[in-house]
Amino acid sequence: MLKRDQSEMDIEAETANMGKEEKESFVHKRQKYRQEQEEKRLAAKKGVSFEQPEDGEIKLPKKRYYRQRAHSNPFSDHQLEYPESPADMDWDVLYPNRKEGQKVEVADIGCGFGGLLVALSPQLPNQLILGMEIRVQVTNYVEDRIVALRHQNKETDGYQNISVLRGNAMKFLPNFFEKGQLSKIFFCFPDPHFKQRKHKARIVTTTLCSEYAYVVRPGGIVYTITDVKDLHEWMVKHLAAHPLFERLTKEEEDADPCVATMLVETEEGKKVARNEGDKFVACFRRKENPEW
Amino acid sequence: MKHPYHIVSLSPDGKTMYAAAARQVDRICLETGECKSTVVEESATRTTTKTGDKPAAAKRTKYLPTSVSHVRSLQLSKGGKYLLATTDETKSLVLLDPTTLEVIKKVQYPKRPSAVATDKEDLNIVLGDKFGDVYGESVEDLLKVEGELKDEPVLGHVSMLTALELGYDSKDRPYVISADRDEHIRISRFPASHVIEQFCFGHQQFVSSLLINDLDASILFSAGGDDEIFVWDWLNGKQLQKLSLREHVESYLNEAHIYVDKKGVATTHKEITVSSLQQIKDTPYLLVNVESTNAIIVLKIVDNKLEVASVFATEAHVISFSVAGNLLVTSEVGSEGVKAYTITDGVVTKSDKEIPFGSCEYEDDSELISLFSTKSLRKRGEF
Repeated sequence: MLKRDQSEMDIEAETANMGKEEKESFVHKRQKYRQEQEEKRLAAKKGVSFEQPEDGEIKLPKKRYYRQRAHSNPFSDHQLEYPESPADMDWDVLYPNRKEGQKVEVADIGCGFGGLLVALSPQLPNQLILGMEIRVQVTNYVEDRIVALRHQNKETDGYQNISVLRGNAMKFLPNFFEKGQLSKIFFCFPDPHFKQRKHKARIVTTTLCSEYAYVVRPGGIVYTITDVKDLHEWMVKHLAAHPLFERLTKEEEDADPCVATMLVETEEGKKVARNEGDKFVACFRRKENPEW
Repeated sequence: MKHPYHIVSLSPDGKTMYAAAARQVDRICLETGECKSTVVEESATRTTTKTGDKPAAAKRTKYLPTSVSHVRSLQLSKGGKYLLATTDETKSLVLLDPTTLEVIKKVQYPKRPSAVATDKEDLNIVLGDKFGDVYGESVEDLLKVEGELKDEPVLGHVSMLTALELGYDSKDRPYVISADRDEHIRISRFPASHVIEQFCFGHQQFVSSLLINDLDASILFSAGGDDEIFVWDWLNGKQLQKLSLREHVESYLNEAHIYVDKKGVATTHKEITVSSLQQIKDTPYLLVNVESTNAIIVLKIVDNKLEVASVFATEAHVISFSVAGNLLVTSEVGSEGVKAYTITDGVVTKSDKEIPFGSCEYEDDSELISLFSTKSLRKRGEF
């Protein structure tokens, strides 16, 4: 049995009721914590095992120290690291136990705090799964979470097939993945960008669908879930109108175990469930390219 | 004072020169010296705050770079039927008659156009904008548009579109080749552009020029903010060569190629930006200018490889150049009008050909448009 993450709690309320002084001391603690984790993370990347706490456990990261505002502008020129081309990507850093030639086949775009990754890991044990997240602190959290989970499950080689990187999928997806490399791509609770003039920043647009069709192989599945009805309708409209995608029937959706995972295991999914909100799912199959 | 031409463009036969100065397009017959002019853009400076603007809007405009509305691009369509101009303030594509210079049609696009290409029969026009969307329209449909274009884009990048080209495979099927500020060159079918066939990876900086080899349509050249000119087997996304220009232009680089950031820290090396890449029709010669230099670099294709044939020093920094047959014309800083040169077997020499100058007057420097703007495409990462 794999040990499951204990830090599945929502932190939003945590700082909300704090007094000024308390808040300041929290911010100070957060900076210190982040710095320590940063050092550990770098050490882990270099293959140096970092200092073991007394109980011999690497603790799971604390989410409250990684909070960052929920939105990031996908159009701005962040200082991102991305490979010049998929061939230039060093996947061994992310998946040290990777089999020779094994490629990432599943991508979680905007993976947030990594709930889906952690849940999919045992469910798809033979596939490499990558989370992409644009917010730095959130990516760091997921990275630390995976390091801790791998450490806690080292006897069973658990969680070796999931990893995360900071990236802007709207701009650089083809830099990471070859044509038809992916069999599944997830868009879970994406930023709704409510304002009309922000709609181009939505993760599903007609023109971006062509890029998803490029990285997803024919027969591969695009999964979407949101609690915002308007966004759900938007994503359905754009994917359904795209000549290279067709919507899965309700029966097909229900038969797909990944749909169930997506409904219950994402952090946002849990939050929505707590608030007894609605969740809207739509999945689409990548069709073959038309003859020409 | 006369406004310099910021764009010059020769007809393929070298008998006519088209040029843009601020908001005006000129047509100069090089045989008779006859000059026609048409103003294609409305007068407006973006920085002027309109009265009645909300304070927030006024504050925003204050920080915008000063920019005078002008013609952003000017080119003859591949088939030669239309002269195509794009404008910034009115975000329009203007189709002009290449002989009379009459405006046939002015179509407003949703965002500011940044690249245009036509197919070889002049039946379709693809246009990319600063938000990365590319519209593919038949000329027939464009002529019917009233006011603003309402169509959906055929493809889109999440990055400013910087260059466009239409290429053909051996079965004569067309493809859109689209390049952006994020180093990408994308190959999509046309008009079914939702099918992306390929990416050409290799640029580390923005791409500003795309050019299909006139002698072999399977070869694409590209250049931009990198030191190198790239050579591609574009249908297969394969990089064939990259040729560094640095050693050839090093002595021409100057303080304009040093970037000083907001904190006053200067780059240690000089940044190269290719402003234009052109081929002399039906010959193995290509001409390149690095922005803010007085160097015209002549490249030659030898056994499918590019090599530097010669470097010619013009009198002043080249704002724009155009080549047709053995005639090279340049618009240069500080000199009135256009200079002519002769190019023979890859060697450039000064020509005594006189080229008449149109008349676009301006009164003070605030009306002068920015002449070297390609380098501003370079990304300066914000965290």
